[in-house]
Amino acid sequence: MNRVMARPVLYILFLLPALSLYIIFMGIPIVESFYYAFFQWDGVTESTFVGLDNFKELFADEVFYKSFANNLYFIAFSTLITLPFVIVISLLLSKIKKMMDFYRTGVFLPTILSTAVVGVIWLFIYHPEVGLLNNLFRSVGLDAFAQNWLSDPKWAMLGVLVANAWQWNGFYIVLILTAILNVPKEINESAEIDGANGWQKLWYITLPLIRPILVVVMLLSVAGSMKALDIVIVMTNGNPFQTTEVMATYMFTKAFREYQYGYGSAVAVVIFLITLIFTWIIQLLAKKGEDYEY
Amino acid sequence: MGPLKNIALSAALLSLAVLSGCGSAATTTENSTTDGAKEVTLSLRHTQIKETTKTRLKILEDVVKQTETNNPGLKIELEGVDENVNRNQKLKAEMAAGNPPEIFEMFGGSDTQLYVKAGRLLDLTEFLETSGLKDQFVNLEEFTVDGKIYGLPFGGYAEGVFYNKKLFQELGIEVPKTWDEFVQAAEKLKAAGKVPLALAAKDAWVNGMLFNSIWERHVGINGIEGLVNGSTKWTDPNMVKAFEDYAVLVNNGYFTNGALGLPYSEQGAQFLKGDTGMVFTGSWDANRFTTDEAGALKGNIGFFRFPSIAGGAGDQTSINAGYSNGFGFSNNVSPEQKEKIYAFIKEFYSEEVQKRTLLEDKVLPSMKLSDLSGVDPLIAEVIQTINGSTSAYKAFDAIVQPSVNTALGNSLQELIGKVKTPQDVAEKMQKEQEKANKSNK
Amino acid sequence: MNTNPVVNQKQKSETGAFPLTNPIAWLTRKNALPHLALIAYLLVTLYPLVWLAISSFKTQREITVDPWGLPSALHWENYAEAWKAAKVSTYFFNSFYISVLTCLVILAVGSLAAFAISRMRFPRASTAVYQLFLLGLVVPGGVLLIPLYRLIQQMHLIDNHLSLILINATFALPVTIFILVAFMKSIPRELEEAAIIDGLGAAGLFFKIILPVTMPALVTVFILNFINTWNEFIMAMLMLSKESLRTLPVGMSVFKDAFQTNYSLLAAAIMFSVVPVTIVYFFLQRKIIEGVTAGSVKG
Repeated sequence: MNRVMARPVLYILFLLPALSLYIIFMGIPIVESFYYAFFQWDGVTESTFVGLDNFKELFADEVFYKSFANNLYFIAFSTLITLPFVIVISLLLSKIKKMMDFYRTGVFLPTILSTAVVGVIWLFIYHPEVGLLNNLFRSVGLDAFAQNWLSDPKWAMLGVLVANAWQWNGFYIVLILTAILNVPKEINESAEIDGANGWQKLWYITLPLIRPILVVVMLLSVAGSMKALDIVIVMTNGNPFQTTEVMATYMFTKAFREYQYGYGSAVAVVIFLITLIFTWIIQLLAKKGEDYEY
Repeated sequence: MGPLKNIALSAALLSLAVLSGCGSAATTTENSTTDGAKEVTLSLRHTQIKETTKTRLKILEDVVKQTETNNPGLKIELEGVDENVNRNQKLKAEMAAGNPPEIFEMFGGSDTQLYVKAGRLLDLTEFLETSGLKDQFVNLEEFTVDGKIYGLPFGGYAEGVFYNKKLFQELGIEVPKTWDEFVQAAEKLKAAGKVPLALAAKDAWVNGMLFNSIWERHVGINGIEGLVNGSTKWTDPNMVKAFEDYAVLVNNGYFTNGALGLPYSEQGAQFLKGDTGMVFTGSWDANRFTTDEAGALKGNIGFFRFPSIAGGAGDQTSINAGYSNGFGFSNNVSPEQKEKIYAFIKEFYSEEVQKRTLLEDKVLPSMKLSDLSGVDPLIAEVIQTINGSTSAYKAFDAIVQPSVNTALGNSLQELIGKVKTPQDVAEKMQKEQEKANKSNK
Repeated sequence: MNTNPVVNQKQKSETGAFPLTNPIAWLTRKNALPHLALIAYLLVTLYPLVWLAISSFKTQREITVDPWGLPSALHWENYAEAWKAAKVSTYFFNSFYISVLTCLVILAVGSLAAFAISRMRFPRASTAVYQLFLLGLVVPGGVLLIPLYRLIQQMHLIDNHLSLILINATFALPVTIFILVAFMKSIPRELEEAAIIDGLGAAGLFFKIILPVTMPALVTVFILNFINTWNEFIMAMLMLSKESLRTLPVGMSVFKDAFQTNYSLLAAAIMFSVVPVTIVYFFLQRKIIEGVTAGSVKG
């Protein structure tokens, strides 16, 4: 049977469409833009080769470090707060039979919106005077809790993160929920016969079985946090005074608004490399865990 | 890059053949010449795709139709693209590759300079001189590079203070002529529980407008221009004073609460709500201020020039005004196309079209108009203010490098957020300026 | 799909009394807590959307002056105006068929690749390919815009929906492959072995066993990619200049520019974009559940 699943021609044939699309529309642009990381280029006129100068400048750039720190905040929030929360909601949803269509559609709804629309909504929610959040606090007498959410450097980044979580939770919930429901009923049933209680089933059966998808969700959420661009642009545009700047917005500003395409490309290369390292670490940890279990 | 790309391209075409079931095949856009009138096609890229720019688009479409009627065989294809996407990516990529549309919307200042440096723009100097059009424009400075003209503005703007006439009357406030009167007016408004100055500055450029005027009053336009060649410094005493005055407005609490978290569109909305005394902005907002959104304020909004500052080195009765929104033209065109581009210019840049733009779109004309009848009173007030000013100066972002522009936006936000002092900010700006001057970006 | 009567019966017996008829008895049941938690979560999640729906009936001034209040009257004309200004009739169709085709390309190409990576016996090559796709996941997209635009120009695909379909499909590939690989890996080997003993080849196995079993994952991937393509703005703006070719997000962007936002029309336009997708999602998520039941019964 190994023969059947080890036919090289078939293997190549199955991979070819994906690989050719990928190499043409992703590979070429990536190589081309990374190539400019070694040039000083305004994006229009002649470019000059500057070797590693862009990277040297980058590593001495305070704003870049600040934005990197914000990306770390982003990752921490999405993996330590959002992800466990999303798993809990998915587990709750998987238990429920009544009104499940309503729940499953409801939790997913924000994901249907585009980021631009999410921005419009949340700017109204965070509005210092007429905003929903401050109105809510004031109406219950908690005036002290009312803040200038997006203009106060203490709160602005958190404000962006909450809006981002609101938008994407549905996406992750649907993924995890599908995985949970995909766990064969027989396994759960036989565990019940063996006398396993709810928690044991969750810990020894459900979680290990949905582990591959949890790793994927983790990868997506870390990669997404590192590349975050749109949500920051619509919410704060990196402000107040660049306290919510992330690496991708910094790249965007440099490459397109300040006519430093080469420098912007260098930022992109660095984002790429750091994210790659992070995702490798996640994969390594995931593998390690597997070894212990079996 | 070359060979790699070719291999990949042929691979791409191969897979396209497989996938081409969906979507039409690529069409070639070569101009075919038939008998009779010579057929010429021009592409015109505009950015008037928003609901608020419907009027402007209509005017453009009418001009295009008229040009086509007057030039048999000419076809002008309009294509509308989002302003940011066009400016940041699309037009830029085309400029790098040398294949922009024949006619395109373009900003004066740094964009124009960049495209001239790349050698992509049609030099209009001779045509404008022989046709006599040149003298009809108010100001072509932002489209002029090394004495040659590469673009034509279709409108202008002026920045100043729009104020709520009702509130001013109720509180007995006179239009301020000096900085002190301005501060007193703001103080009165604040005491009456109103917001003196509407501000929504999530986007850093918004802060730059009001600061630009305070700055010019203190250092003069030469002082601003001197930064780029190093003859003046951000740390010069009068520069620091400009930051200090700006900080006065901040520290006295004259701006909207939480301004740094609000999108620009919110600023006009706040002002129109009626409990805000003034807003410093450009004449582009005048259009909005005369619509139904103004509610009870409609017709009760006035405009004044930023007040003078005693002891400042600038022209105390000047106004920030510019003509930077315009059209550029590709020099990668055939002689026939060039001729038709000129035909379009003659059609578009006429007193008639300019007057129509002023009346319907409420954009300040870029050409000298003899007849200003029928103009909306608020717009008329803006035009009178410009005419009554001793000089007009262009915005700082058309002078300093883009990276300095970004830094200034941040610095002003830092002042508003009260995390830096004027002195700190000035020092930081000087550092950024030196870096930009050195790399000449 | 085959619905198992036994499963349905079981569901029914678990659901218990309807909350309105006997709330106290209901509260004491095991599932009350999850329901309460979910309802709380949904309130927070859905309120902004309800607000959006309400706003679509208000005037611009009502929204800016009293954003959270109710409309003075139902301004249905917002919908008529938004329909016209955002050219919903044309753009909706464009968006719809582009999104569907994109998703079909993604599913076809992605599931083949995921199958090869997860089930075929070339562990080394598969690891390499998997990591190659990971690169696509970590690359920041913004910087690719200009090279991509030039590539599409050279391919003469500007103003051709094919460019959007191919680009969107490619950009969705890494995520799609990751998700599908994860699901396909979890299919028990015994299932595969049994099929091969029955005489199925790799292709047969893929079409007859793996695809049906991963149907819930395929539908999920379809939904997620559909929404991403449905909302995609910058590529659509970059690659398409002709008005007749534009997509719905481009149409919706007409209500928001650098200086002003027309909130009431924007809200109405958003409804045109969101409501149909919500309805489609409502039925598709049922398919996921049905698929799961069907798949697990087979397994």
